[in-house]
Order: sequence, then C-alpha cells, then structure tokens
Amino acid sequence: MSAITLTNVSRWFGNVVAANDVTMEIGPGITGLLGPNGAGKTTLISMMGGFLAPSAGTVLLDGVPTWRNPEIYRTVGIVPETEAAYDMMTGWQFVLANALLHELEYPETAATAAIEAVDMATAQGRAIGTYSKGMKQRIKMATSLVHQPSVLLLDEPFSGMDPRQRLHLMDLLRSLAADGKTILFSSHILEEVEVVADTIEVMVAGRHAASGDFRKIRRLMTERPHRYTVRSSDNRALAAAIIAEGSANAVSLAPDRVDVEASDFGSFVHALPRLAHKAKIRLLDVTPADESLESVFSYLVAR
Amino acid sequence: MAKENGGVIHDIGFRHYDGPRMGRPFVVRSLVADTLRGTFGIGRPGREKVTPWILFGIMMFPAFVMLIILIVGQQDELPTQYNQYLIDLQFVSALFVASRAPYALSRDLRDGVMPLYLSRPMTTRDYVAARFLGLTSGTTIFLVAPITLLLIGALLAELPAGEQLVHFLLAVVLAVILAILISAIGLAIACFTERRGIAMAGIVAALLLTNGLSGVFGQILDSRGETDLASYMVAFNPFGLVDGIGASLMGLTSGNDPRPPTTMIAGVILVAIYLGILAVCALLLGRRYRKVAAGA
Amino acid sequence: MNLVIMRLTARSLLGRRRVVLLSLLPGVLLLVAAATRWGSDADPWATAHMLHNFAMSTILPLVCLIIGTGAIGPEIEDGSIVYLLAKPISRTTIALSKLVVAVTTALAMGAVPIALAGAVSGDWHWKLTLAYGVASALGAVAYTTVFFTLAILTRNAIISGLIYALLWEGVIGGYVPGVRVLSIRQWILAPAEEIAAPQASTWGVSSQVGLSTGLLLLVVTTILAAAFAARRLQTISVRGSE
Repeated sequence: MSAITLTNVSRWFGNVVAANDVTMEIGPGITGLLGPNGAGKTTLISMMGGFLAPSAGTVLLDGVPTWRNPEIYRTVGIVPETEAAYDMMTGWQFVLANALLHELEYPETAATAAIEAVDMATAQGRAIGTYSKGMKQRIKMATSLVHQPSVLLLDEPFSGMDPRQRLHLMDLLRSLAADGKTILFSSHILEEVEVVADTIEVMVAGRHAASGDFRKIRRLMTERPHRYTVRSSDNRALAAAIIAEGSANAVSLAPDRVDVEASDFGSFVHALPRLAHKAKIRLLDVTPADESLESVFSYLVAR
Repeated sequence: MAKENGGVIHDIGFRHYDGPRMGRPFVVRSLVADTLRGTFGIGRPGREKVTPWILFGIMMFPAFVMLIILIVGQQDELPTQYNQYLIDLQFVSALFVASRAPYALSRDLRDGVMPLYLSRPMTTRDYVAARFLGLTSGTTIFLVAPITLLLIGALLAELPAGEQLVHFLLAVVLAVILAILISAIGLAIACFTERRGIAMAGIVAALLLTNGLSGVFGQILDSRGETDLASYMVAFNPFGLVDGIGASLMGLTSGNDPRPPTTMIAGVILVAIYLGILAVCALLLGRRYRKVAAGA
Repeated sequence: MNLVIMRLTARSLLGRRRVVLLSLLPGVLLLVAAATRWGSDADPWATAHMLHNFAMSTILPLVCLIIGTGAIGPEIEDGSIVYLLAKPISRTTIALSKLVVAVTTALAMGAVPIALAGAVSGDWHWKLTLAYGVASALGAVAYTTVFFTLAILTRNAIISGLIYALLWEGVIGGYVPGVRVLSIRQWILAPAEEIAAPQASTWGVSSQVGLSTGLLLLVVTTILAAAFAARRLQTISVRGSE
C-alpha cells in the first residue's frame, strides 16, 4: 500500500502557472485525474513521477520526495503519454529490456507475466513500429507493470484505444486496484473516469477544483438544482404530493414519469419515500437525471 | 433539414460555397511563400528563428567589417570580390541549407501530414516544386544579402560604379545558380529521413566532404603534373562547380582552390555536370515522393 | 555502467539510416587515402596534408557529432527517454553508460579509420599513423563527450555542434588566432606534433598550443562536459513530445 501526497504544490513555467497550490492525497484504489486540456494534468503526473521539480510545495511518495530520487521507481510504474517507443525492437524485447533495467531476479518470467496481463502475447514477436495505437498503449502498460509496482501513474491511457481494448484496460485497472495498488490516471473524457474511478481529482486551469467521490462532489454543489426522474404507480398523484410537500422547486408531469427539480439535495431524497408511503404510491424508479460526471464537470468548468 | 427513418441532420449554419475557388496556382504560391518565411523562421516560434538568424549574422559579419574598412580606410579596391565572398563563406551557406532543407521536408514526413497537402488541388510534383522554390529563394536572399552590403560599401567609397555594378550583377547570377544547386542537393537528401538531425548531418557531409574531396584530388593531380585534370576536380564540390561556371563562362576571377578551368568548352562541360546533378536530385525526389503519395 | 542501457544505445545508434551515413564517412576517407597514395607515390607530406585538411577538420568532428548527439538526442526529442529515467538507476549511470557506448563507437568509426588512412596513404616508420591515431582517438573522446552534453542541453544540438566544429574551429579560427587556442582540434594536434617530431614541421603537423597545455585543456574539458551531462540528466524535465 502506497500513497502519494501533494502539499501546496505549485509549478510555473515562466509566466504560465500550470499547477497552482495543489494539495491532494492519492491512496490505494483507482483515482481519476480529470480536467480539460491544459488544466495541468500532465504537469501533476510528471511531478508525481519525479520528472519535474515542483516550483513550490512538496510531492511525497510514502513520505519521500519524488524529485531526484530514482529509488521511487521500484514502487512506481509510469505509462507516459508519448507515443514514441523503441520502434525497431519487438514488444517482447522492449518489455524484457525494461525488466532487466529494473534488475529483477527473473526478468523473463516478469516480462511474460506483464505481456500476458495486457493480452499482447500474440503480437509480442512483432516490431513495435508496426503496432497500432492501442497495441502500443498496451505494450507501454506492460513495461510499467513488469516490476509489479504498488503505484501506477498513467497519462491519458485510453487515448487511441478502440472500445474493446478500452474495456479490457478498465478490467485490468480494476483487478490491479483490487490487489490494493494505488492507480492514478488522467483523462479529459468523462465517461472513462466515471466508469472506473473510485475517486476523482478535478483540475481546472491549474487549480485543484474538486476531489472525492464524484456523486458526493455533485451533492456539495447545493446551489445548483438537482434533477430527478421518478416513475411510480400513480405519477399524477405523486406530482401533486411533491408539490404540496414543498421540497421541490419544479415538477413536470410527462406521460410515463415525473421530472422533479429540487434545490436541496438532502430534503427531497428524504421526503420522497415518506410521501410515497403516505399516499400509497409505489415508486418504480428514481433516477438522478444529471448525476453524470459530464454535468459535474461542465458545472465546475463553467463556475 | 432532412428527415428519414427518424434520423435527422441538423442545420447548424454551414453554408454552401458557390463562389470562385483560388485553385492550384494559389495553393502552390501560398506554399512557396510559407516555405520562404519558414526558411528564416518568420511566423514560427522563437527557437526556430535562432539558427537561421545566427547563420545570417555570421554570413553578414565579414561583409559588414569590409564595408567599414572600405569607408574608413578610403581603399580604392574591394578587399574581396563579390563572387569570391560566396566561395569564402561556403561553410556558412552549407550550414544554412543543411538546417533549412530538413525544415522544409522532414517535418511534413514525420508528422504524417502529406495526405493533407495532397487532399488539396495539388500534386506531389507541385508540393516538391513549391518547397524547392521557397528554399531556393530563401537561400538566394541569404547569399545576395552580404554581397549587396559589399556593393553599398563600394559605392559609398566611390569606387567606379559601373564596373562594380557589373561585377555585382554577375555575382548575383552566380548566387542564384548556386542557390538552385545546393537547395536541390539539400532537399534530395532531406526527403529520405524524418529525423531532422540525420538529414542535417547528411547534407553537411555531402556539401563539405565534396569540398575536401575536390581539394585533395586537385592537389594530388596537380603534383603529378596533370594540371588540366586537376582543374576539373572543382566539379566534385557544388561551390567549386558554380565558381568554375563563373570563371569559364562569365569571365570572373575564380576564388576557389583548386583553380577551375577557364576555357569555353570547359564551361560547357561544367554546365552539363551542373544540370546532371540537378537531374539526379529531381530523380531522387521524384522517386521518394511517388512512394510517399502511394502512402508508404 | 549498465549493460542494458549500453545495448539499447548501441542498437539505436546503429539504426539503418544513421549507420549508412556513419559508414559513408570513413569509407570516403579510405578512398581518399588510397587516391592520395596513388597520386603522391606514398609521400608522407601528402598523407599529413590529407589527414590534416580532410580527416581531422571534417571527418572526425562529423562522425563524433552524429554519434554523440545520436546517442541521446532523439530519445529526449520524442520523450522515450522516460523509459530509461523511470528506473531505479542513478542518472549518472545512465549518462555514463550512454557516453561510453558513444565514445567507443566514435573510436571505431572515427579514430580507427583515420589511423588506417594514415597507413594506407603512405607513412614513414608508422609515425603519421601513430600521431594521427592518437590525436583522433583523443578527439573522438573529447568531441563525442562535448556533443553528447550539447544534445542534453539543447534540441538544436546538431546545428550548434556544426557551427562549433566547422565555423568556430575552421572558418573563424582561420582569421582569429585566439579562437584557435580554444579549439579541441588544436589540443588534440599537440600530441600529434610531439609524436611526429622531428619531422613535424616538414610534414606540416602543427598545433597552436603546447603539449601539456593541450592535454590539460583536453582532460579538463572532457571531464567537465561529462560531469555536466550527468548533472543535467538528473534535473532534466520530461513532459512528453509536444
């Protein structure tokens, strides 16, 4: 079990501030680092991976600074964003070379296991230059898994993958997380993060805009109305009861459902079952209509 | 808006264009201008500007010093002839072409954007021609600028204007001939690699090794008494070759070592060699870009 | 030293295009050497002239430039250096491993052919072969180290190296004597002059600096460059390809 701790970390390049006073802790499980392009995601990952010095603040891995400390790479695996690899080598040679560079005791075994894990055994004999984007991404994954790191940093790992490869990588990340590994990946695509990440860290223009469970983040933003779609045995009666109760701002009745807009998250969610019970209406389905990461994100970006 | 099977194409405001289109000549002209600007790093970020302008500074510096000497020292003769200047600073112009030719071609190959160029009403031939024209005009400016400074110096020092002007214009013609040759050689090498570094080293090797070769061979033949054959060794070196054309056909004083031949027939032979090298370069470029166009 | 890094470096150094260019240079040199022998009837003076004006001034710096920058430049440019840096290996080891491979390659592709060219072209009691062999071996070490460091410092390493080797040492050094003293070429020629003595002046083997000054400057420059390379690699910022 390992954790990365950032304390008041800032990084500027000349006049441009790429990360501004960021404090966060990345623990075991999958964390999604989310933000639009240019939000400072790559800068943060570079600092966590020891490739960039923070201009201010500290970046620690289990209490040890990551900058100028190659020893961290025994615990950290890194999947860089760059497409470039050693194109003339085969996938097998490349992963094996990485295993050898880690000075592992059984490099061949480790390389085989890593290639198995990313499902690249069939193509391991081909030169990397001939791989597709998704295959390159997977062989990059294999190089970072070869020494079984307890921390895995992935910069835009899903870019260029087709949906099947994407699902496969998500499964892989989940199984790694289940082993207690600390996994951080960056993305600007919301559904990816939503599907795999336990926690999210949201970066907007270099600022650490939000962190935690994205549903909880969403709930924290009480000033923004929450929408629900409710289906019940008697939609018309339910609509009337909700209006009478008073915890909703607006209620609209559609043929097969009731759309509710509530200003206060807690009171409506608590009031609804009580209302239904009292009016003897059976609730069939209660769905938050905009609880998707997309809406969380666009809200944060627009703020 | 078209509706069919429940699908809908929304009208988001794109308008159809029915007006006249600029067409192929315009595209080619734009690419020439872009290449020329790029040759000096204009419209490019700062670090693209460093190399060409440092080289330009080095190229201009001796001319500037000579200009001052001319005016202050009241000399009645130029310290060096216009065409001699081009030969003396051949290392600088070789480096210029070596750094700019890969800029013109390798980037497009590396980034895989050739299909984007070819999706316009433009052929590969247009593309190569435009890049070549752009680089050649850039190199011409690079060569002509310092000797123009020399001319200004000569006129300010009140040297005989007519004579200076004739010499200057002949040197300008020579500069154009030279620019065409070294640009063609540079591009013919640059098109084979996406790595700018390798292309650069290759072009320098080609332009400067030949200088060494022609020098060494010329001296050897000279010492064996084969003076005639020795003079033809200039043909090994692009700069010597062009200097030889100037010496034999334009009556200029050669600035090269070994000395080029000066007879009319020799001049014709040198021109034939010159055209031969251009043809080989064209052939190489053509072969390479036929492959590129085929998507290799 | 790390054997894996050395193997990877050798592999990318001897990639297809680069190896063509690299073998072309010594090939041309040996061709010229043969021609010089034929033309001068194996006169040591002609050999010295050819080595001085062709091998040492053009071939050696070019070979070292291609090798020195090629050993690390492309990896930094495309970001794949990350795979080496993200390993529990000290950056000094990484830098030195790469440098050793580069210097060895430069010795094989630069110094050996130059010594060979001296022998082929016509020598007297192996004096020129030895003199220029030693000079070019020292040059291979110094030039390659300096150009290697340059490749870590700047993305314009090749052109900067060319400007140094050809313009500074060659053209500007031709006009300004002070520049010649600050040239690797003059430093490495100092031992050559010593070895070729007493015929050095007849053959035209000469250096602008004395033997001890030349060697001292050579050693100091090489060590400083190597140390600087290792230091810069420790604090290099990698942010992927742009």
